[in-house]
Order: sequence, then structure tokens, then C-alpha cells
Amino acid sequence: MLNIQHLTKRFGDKTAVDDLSLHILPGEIYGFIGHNGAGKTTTLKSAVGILKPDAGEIEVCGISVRNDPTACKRQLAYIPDDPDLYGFMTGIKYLNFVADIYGVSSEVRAERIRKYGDLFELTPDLAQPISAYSHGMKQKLAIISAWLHDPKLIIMDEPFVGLDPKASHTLKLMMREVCDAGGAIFFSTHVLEVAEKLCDKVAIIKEGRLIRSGTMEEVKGDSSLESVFLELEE
Amino acid sequence: MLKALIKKELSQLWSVYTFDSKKGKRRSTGATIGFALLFLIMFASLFVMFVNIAMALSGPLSEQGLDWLYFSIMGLLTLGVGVIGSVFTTFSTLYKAKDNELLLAMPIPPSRILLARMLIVFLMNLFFCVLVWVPAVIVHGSTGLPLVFQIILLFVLTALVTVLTCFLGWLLALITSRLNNKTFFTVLLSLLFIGLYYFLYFKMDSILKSILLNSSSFAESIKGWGYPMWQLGLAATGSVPSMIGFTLASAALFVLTCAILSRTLLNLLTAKHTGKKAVYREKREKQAGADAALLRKELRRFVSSATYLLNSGFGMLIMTAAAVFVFIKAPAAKPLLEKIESALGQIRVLPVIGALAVCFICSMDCVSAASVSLEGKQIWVLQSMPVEAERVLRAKKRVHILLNIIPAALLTAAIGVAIGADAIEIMLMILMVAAFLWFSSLFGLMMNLIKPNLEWTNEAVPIKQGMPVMFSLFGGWLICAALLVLSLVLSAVLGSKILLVICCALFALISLLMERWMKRRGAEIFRHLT
Repeated sequence: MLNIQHLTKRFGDKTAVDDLSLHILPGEIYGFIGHNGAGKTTTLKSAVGILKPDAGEIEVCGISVRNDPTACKRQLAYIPDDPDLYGFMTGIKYLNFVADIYGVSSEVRAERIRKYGDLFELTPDLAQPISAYSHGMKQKLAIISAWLHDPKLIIMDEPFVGLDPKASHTLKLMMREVCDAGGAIFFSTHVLEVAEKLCDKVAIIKEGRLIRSGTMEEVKGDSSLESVFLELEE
Repeated sequence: MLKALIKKELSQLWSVYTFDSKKGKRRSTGATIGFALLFLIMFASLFVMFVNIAMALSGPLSEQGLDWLYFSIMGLLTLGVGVIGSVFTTFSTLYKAKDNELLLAMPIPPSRILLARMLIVFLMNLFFCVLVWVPAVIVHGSTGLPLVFQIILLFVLTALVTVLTCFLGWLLALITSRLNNKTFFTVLLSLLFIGLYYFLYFKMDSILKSILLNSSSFAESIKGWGYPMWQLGLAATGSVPSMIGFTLASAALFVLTCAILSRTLLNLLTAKHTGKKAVYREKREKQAGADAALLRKELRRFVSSATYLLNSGFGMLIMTAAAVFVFIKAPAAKPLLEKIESALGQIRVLPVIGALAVCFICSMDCVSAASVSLEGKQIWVLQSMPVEAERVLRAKKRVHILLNIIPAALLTAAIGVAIGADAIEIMLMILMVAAFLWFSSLFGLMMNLIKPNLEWTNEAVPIKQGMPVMFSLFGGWLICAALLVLSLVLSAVLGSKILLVICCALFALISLLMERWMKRRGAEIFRHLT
């Protein structure tokens, strides 16, 4: 689903991501863990095609991000760590804008907006301008918009930040649903308990380099993910 | 405690000179000095303007023994300038201060917070009153008791201005807190103020003349409807009972305002009227294509921001107003135009000049020059979507053209009719303006892609202060000026129609080259902007 091979990204003298390789298969929830500034966001943005890698190759569903970014983007959805959305639009206008860009038909979009809006209890607020939304509401709207076109791959940067416990639970269920249907999720998080319970596979990044990856059992063994992470960070 | 509050308010006031709120950083020493100098120049020029007004009124009214009327009029002007000048700052100082909750959480009585803020409002109002009242006093040249009274009246008038601005500021706070469409209200209010300013600026001379011509009847009527102003005039000319009466009445109003505000401050500062909350009702939305969605998004961005509308859309307003004006006044201007034409020579060049004049105004609308920067931190939305960057840029270009084309075509046609151009000439003029709009939309976009700013905290920065906007504005003007010179030179050998075709071809050629750049380099820049 997502194949990252020898990704390297530099910002001036600083190497943010150094020769990173990851392979995410259909049906997998893949967690991405690392301290602040480790290179998680850079990796995610490169996978989406926002950042141009200095070296390496990224493929989404077998299509090269470098050669055909638009075709890749049709298969995926991305939610950044701080979902800054168009404050000048109402929630519903934003969702319709996203649906228009992805070519989602009127019937399908209406059904999905109703379904996910109700799941996140955001439906009554969809007529409000996004500028009046709280951080959590923006996060919910970003999640709904990501699910709107039924993507095969969802890339999320810290998706649980700002969500209330009920919305967090809903999101976890939705993530599992995507994977059960043959899709894949690649997300970064600082909440190790969530990663431990939710992820099929996990990768730990430190100073731009991948230091461990694999199934949850392979990475943590008999210890907790937290103790393994702290040990590796030292 | 009060001292600390006043110190905080004063340092906040002073920070206007030392801190650039739009860029969110401290000004350099040079910039602070430059800003202070600019302020001084502005103060001096306004001071001189009011000296002129005072000089125009003082002599004639004194000769008729209507000194009190002179001070009444200058007092009225002081109140007007004071209110217009500081109503918005009073509104933000008293009702919209960002540290309301911080201060209210501290063990400070609300009345102290109000007192400190009222002092700042009073100081700001004093500045505007000095601007008008001091020239009035200097020009009149009174001595003795009247001079003492006039000096005291400066502070009395400031207190009155404070009362009025507090009331209007409260009204503004009430209206804006209940409005759903704040952009429309802001634009409307700004246009009203601009209209009022220009109306008074152009009419000032005739207003002054009419006052001087009908001074006796004006004096009689002011004694009726403007009783307090009559008393102010008498007080300024040395009448002790009027001075006591006017001062006491003003002081009473000031104390009453402070008392009311002090009692209701807590409610005023913490009230949150968010207007009627719109509740979503499901309705069937039509599916649109990606290009239409992008175009709608750009249009929505433009109309949702008062700053964007007023700064990048002012040319559209001028063009629409000018089209109506030219259409109405065309017959009166015909002799003048014929004179210009004959002075320019045998060959008609007025159609080219007319079209270039429209292009000149079009340059003021830098819609596309700010559009990339305005994506700001939301640029990830478009970058992560399956839509080619060139289509995004095309939508930005189209909005620029769409917004301008109708007012520009209207004005061009009106000018064409006014100068007696034939149908082909008018058509070519409109075509040239359209070609210019194509060029300017791409030029602004190109400048913005080369010099983007996505890190702004206040949208006024990319809209008003960005390099792309400056380049787009002055670049457009420069090209118009160059073409004007070229047309005047070539008009000796070429007719207006050929000149118009040449200008059209030139703009189209440059635009085609820029389209090529946009598809390759421009799209690549946009795709990876961070």
C-alpha cells in the first residue's frame, strides 16, 4: 500500500530523514513513533507528496509519488498534526469542497457526511464557520473529510490530539474498519498506550533514522512499548 | 495598583511605535524613528489643514462680531474629528482588550481597570482635540480670561469626546457581537467612512463659503438646535456663566458615563453574544467539478475578508463609480477632450490613453498577488489533494480576471463613448483591457510564487505589505506609463486602432510566456511550498 525506500530529506545542513525504508501492507495499522523533531512529520509529508525527497522512492498502491503525485493522492487521505482548515468556509462547505475535488457523487457524499457527522456528533455544527470551531471540532471535521472519498491509505499526524474520549474511541474503530476492508493506516503518535493497543506494526525513528520496526511483538517483546521506546531513546 | 495598571496601558500605547503587530515582532530602531517621523508629518499636515480652516472662518466671523459662532463651529469640528478619529480605538481599548480575562482574574476591582483604560482613551482623544482646537485658539489670538477658558475647554471637549466615543464604542461592540456577517458590516462601515471623508474633503470649501455667506441665520439657528454649542462658543469668548454651565454639564456627563461603565464593566467585558447559531439542515448538494470547486473556494476567500475586499478590490469600486460618473458627465467634458485631442496632434490617440487609464486602475486590484500567500498554514489542504497545482493557480488567475472584467469593461465602454470612439475602437479598447487583466493576474501570481509568505499571523501582511503586491501594483503602473509614452511617440505614424492592437498583442504575448512559466516552474513551486 505504501512503500518507502531509502527516503532522505534535508533542510539546509540538517538531515531530517536519513535513508528510511518502510513497507505498509493492506490491512495494517502502522504506528510511527519518535521524539519531537525526530523526522516523523517530514516522512509523512514526503509520503503525501507535499515535501520533495532529496533521495529515495515512495510508492502509493504501486504508483510513484515522484512520477504521478496526483494519481497517488487519489488513493490516500492526509490529516496533519494541526489541521488548519479554511476558516472562511462553514463545515459543510468544506466537506462539499473536498467531495468535489475527489469527485464524490451527491448521493454518496450526503450519506457519508450524515454517517460520520453523526458518529462524531458534529452534524448540527456543520452550518457554522470553521473559524468558530474548537481544536477538537476541527480535528473531527478533518477526519470526516479524510474518510469522505473512501481512501485506501490514510496518513495521519497525531490524530488523537484534541479529541474527546468518545471521538478517540470512534476514530480507533474507524481505523480498524478501513483496515478490515483492505485499506491501510499510517499514523504518528506520542501516546504509546494507544499505539500498543491499536497498531499491527510499529516503527521507531530517532534523529531521522529508523531504529526499529516490525510487528508489535517483534518490537516490544515481553516489555511494554514505553520501556522499549525509552531504552532506545537513551 | 492603579499606577501599575496605568503603566501597563501606557506601555501598550507606546508599543504602537516600537512593536509591529502585523509582523508580530519588535520594530528596529530605524523603523521606530521612521514610524515616529511619519506620525509627526501626518500630525503637522493635519494641524496645518485645521489652521487653514480656522483662518478662513476667524477673520470674517470676528468682523461680524460672531466670535462665539467661530468657536462653536470649531468646537463642533473638534467633537467630530475626535469621535471619528478614536471611536474604533476606544472600542478596542475598552471592550475588546485581549487581557480582559487575565486582569479580571486578578484581585483588581473592575472600576480600577476601567479608570486606567479611560485615562488612555482620554489621552488619545486629547490628541485629536489638540489637532483642531489648538489651531482654532492660536488663529483667533485671544488673551486674558477668554484664553484661559479656551485652554480649559480643550480638556472639557476631550471629556465630551470621551463620552461620545464610549457610547459609540459600546454600540459598535453590541452590533458586532450580534452580527453573523461581520465582513459585510466592516466593508459597509469602511466605505461609509471613506465616502464621508471624500465628501467632506471636496465639499469643505463650499461648506465654509456657505457658512460665511449665511453667518447670521446660521448663528440664529445654532442658538436653537445647537444650544450646547452656543454655550460653548460663549464660554470660549469669556462668558463666565456659560463656562461654568458648559463645564459642569460636560463633567456631569463624563462622571455619569464612568459610573455606568464601572457598574456594567464586568458584564461588558465577559459578555459573549455570538449571534444566532446556525444549525445545519441536510440538503442535497450538487456535485461540481474540481475547477468549479477551486474557483468557488477562491471567490469565497475573497468575499469573506474585509481586508482582502477593501484592499484588493478597491479598484473595482473606483471603476464602477467612475463608469457611472463618466457616463453622466461625458457631454460636459467633450470640449475639454477635444482640446486635449487637438493638442496631441492630428492622429487620434485618446482611445489608447483611455484604455491605459483603465489598466492603471486595474493594477490597484492585486487579488492574485496575495492569493498564494493567503493559503498560509492551510496550504496543506490543496497540496494533499489529487488536483494538479496548475489548476489551483488557474483558479486564482480566473478569480482575478472575473472580479475585474465587468467593471473594467463598463468603464472602458463609458470612456469610449465619452471620447467619441467608434464601435471597433471601443471593442479594441475592451480587448486591450481584458488582455491587460490576463497579464496582471499572471504577473501578480508569478510574483507571489517567487516571493511567498505563508508564515503571517495577520492576513493584512500578505494583502497590504507583501512584496508581490507592491511589485504587481507598481509593475502594472510602470508598464502603463511606458505604453503611454510609446503610444504618444508612435501616434505620429500609427492610428489608434493599430496602437490598440499592438498593446493587445504585447500583453497577450507576455501572458502566453507567463502561462508557460506557470505550468512548469510555477506549479512546481506551489506543489512544495511550505
